[in-house]
Amino acid sequence: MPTTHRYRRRVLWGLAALLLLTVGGAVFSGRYPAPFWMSPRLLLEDPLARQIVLNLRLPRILAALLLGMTLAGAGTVFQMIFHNPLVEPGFLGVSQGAAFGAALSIVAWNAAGPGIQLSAAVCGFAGLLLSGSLARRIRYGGWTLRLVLAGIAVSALFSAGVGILKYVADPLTQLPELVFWILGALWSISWPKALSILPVTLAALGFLLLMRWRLNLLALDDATAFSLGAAPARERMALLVAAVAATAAVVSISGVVGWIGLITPHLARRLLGADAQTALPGALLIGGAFAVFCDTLARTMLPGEIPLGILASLIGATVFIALMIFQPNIKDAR
Amino acid sequence: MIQLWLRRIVLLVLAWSLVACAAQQATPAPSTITATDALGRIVELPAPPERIVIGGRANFMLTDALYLFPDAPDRVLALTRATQQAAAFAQLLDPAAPDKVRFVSDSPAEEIAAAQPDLVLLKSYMRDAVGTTLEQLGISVLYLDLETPEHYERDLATLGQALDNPARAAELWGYYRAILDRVAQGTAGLDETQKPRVLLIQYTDSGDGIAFRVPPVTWIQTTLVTLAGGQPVWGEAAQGGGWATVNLEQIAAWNPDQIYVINYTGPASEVVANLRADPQWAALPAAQAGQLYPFPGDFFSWDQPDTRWGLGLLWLAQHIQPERFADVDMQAEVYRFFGDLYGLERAVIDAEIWPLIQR
Repeated sequence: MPTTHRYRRRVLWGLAALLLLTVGGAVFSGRYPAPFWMSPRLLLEDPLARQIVLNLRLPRILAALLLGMTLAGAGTVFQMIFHNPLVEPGFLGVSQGAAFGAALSIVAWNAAGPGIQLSAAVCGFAGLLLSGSLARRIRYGGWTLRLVLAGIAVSALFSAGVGILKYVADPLTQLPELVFWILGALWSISWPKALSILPVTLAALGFLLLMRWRLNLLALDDATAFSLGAAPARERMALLVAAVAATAAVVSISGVVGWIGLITPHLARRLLGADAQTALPGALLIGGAFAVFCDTLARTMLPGEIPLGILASLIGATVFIALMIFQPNIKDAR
Repeated sequence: MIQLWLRRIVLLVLAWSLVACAAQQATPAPSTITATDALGRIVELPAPPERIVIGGRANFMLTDALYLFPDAPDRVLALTRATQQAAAFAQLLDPAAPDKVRFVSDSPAEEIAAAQPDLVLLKSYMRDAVGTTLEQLGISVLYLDLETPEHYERDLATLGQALDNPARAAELWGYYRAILDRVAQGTAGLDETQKPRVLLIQYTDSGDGIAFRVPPVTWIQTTLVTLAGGQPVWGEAAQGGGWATVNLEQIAAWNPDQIYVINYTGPASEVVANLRADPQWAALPAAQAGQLYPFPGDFFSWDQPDTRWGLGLLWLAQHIQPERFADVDMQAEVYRFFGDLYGLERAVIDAEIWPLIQR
């Protein structure tokens, strides 16, 4: 059976190795001294190469890693708690809310780093709360449909808000920054910025990993979960708060990066089964590797930076289509 | 006798007819002014315009070009809000400029039409957004590009036609032509090995991150570097339609001999001072060789397709090929530009322009 404990452990170790390989490859990939690859020997011989690796690539890789893991973790939690395989932070208004918050702080208050991040976090939370509240008030359809509809509506509202802010923004100073938020990118990452989100994301991801076995219970209906000893409302809220806090933190430095939160939980379930005990760590590993891979392409493929959000969407959507087309054999379904 | 009188009468009638015809030819006919704009449209004006509106985006280029014509302050009815620097410079040229700012860059055609202009100047790419509607309302619109030296030759001539002052247009283009000829003469015979590898980057700091951007190969910044005898290194990165973001890693990989830093929101000299103090930038060979320069400017940076591009070209040539342009006196050039072209007095230039250049 492919879903045995040993098989899952092997897959997890394999994913961890893949992540390490991706990170290792990313460290030595870039545009210096020539496109695509830098010889490790250069680190000893060229001070500029050392500067580039230590101060440009490493913080950026760390930020991409945190971004990918967070979006993947949040996506897994959202999909399980809301019983909906189509939700991700972007679908429930969190990403668009964070982008709106960042844009608002840039245009209205000329905010700098921490102000932008705070505004992004607050509006990210507001996006989730609005989506949840609206879904409860919709009078037709099942929970899944209502949640998706509410999420789409709230995301559209925030997108419209970003559009208005883009329209009134100063074309020289504010507009490029808004475009960055809309397309998502990590080119402005430095050590202070990457480290600024580390506490929130590590705490949130640690909490999600510790609670992963409870996720299986919380994915059940309220009565069943309660009968099995869970406090569904409280525990779900705690998980959502952790997921949204981490998402808002990473989005505040990266802008909106879609698809990672949607695709990686699917890939993890495909490889490891629906059990959150292994699916969640699997999703984190895949998400981290995927984001690092995309960001490495973004800064390596062309002399000019390609926005990360564009690459993540391009590759993510392709993978999503492949997942839909190549359905697993019923006998192998887990 | 009767025949004689008849002959006299016929002769008189003929003579009177000739005089009448001559008089008619001497009377000035009601003529129209025609100007061919950047889109190839022939715009007919009943008389030199007296109520000109400068509208749309990138309007400072239009304003600065129009005010090269001495009677522009009397003819301009309304301006469009631009940056603070643009407003300050416009006020130097036209003390009434602050009161003339009536529009924003996205003001709709109806709002502009309400001012009852007899001519609206717009950048060519504003036609779809606002120009077509103005045309439908029967308002004369003149589209200008003002993005390259070739555009300047054509568009200054267009403005000269529209303002019924082609002599001034020719004089203005003569100024730019002389600079182009001087630079072409100075860089003649250079082979590729004599041309330094040049990087020209725009610095932006939003408070949340610093970005470096390179201009597209078709933009005037690239043209200026090429004309000044340098080899732009960023061509492969800038094939799109706008500024392309590049990281320090790519800049190091290009390994340019010279780096010129543009800053549109403040003094570029401060940015360069900070970059020189940055260990990563200090490790670049160009920085170590002292070849990291702030691109100069006054109210506007001289790299832009503004009327100042001639100053930018001369300054760049002097830095890229210093031996060949040692005789260029930039101070004299500045006085010439602002004095001869804009009619600013030396005291005004000393008080308002030089402090900005020397920041």
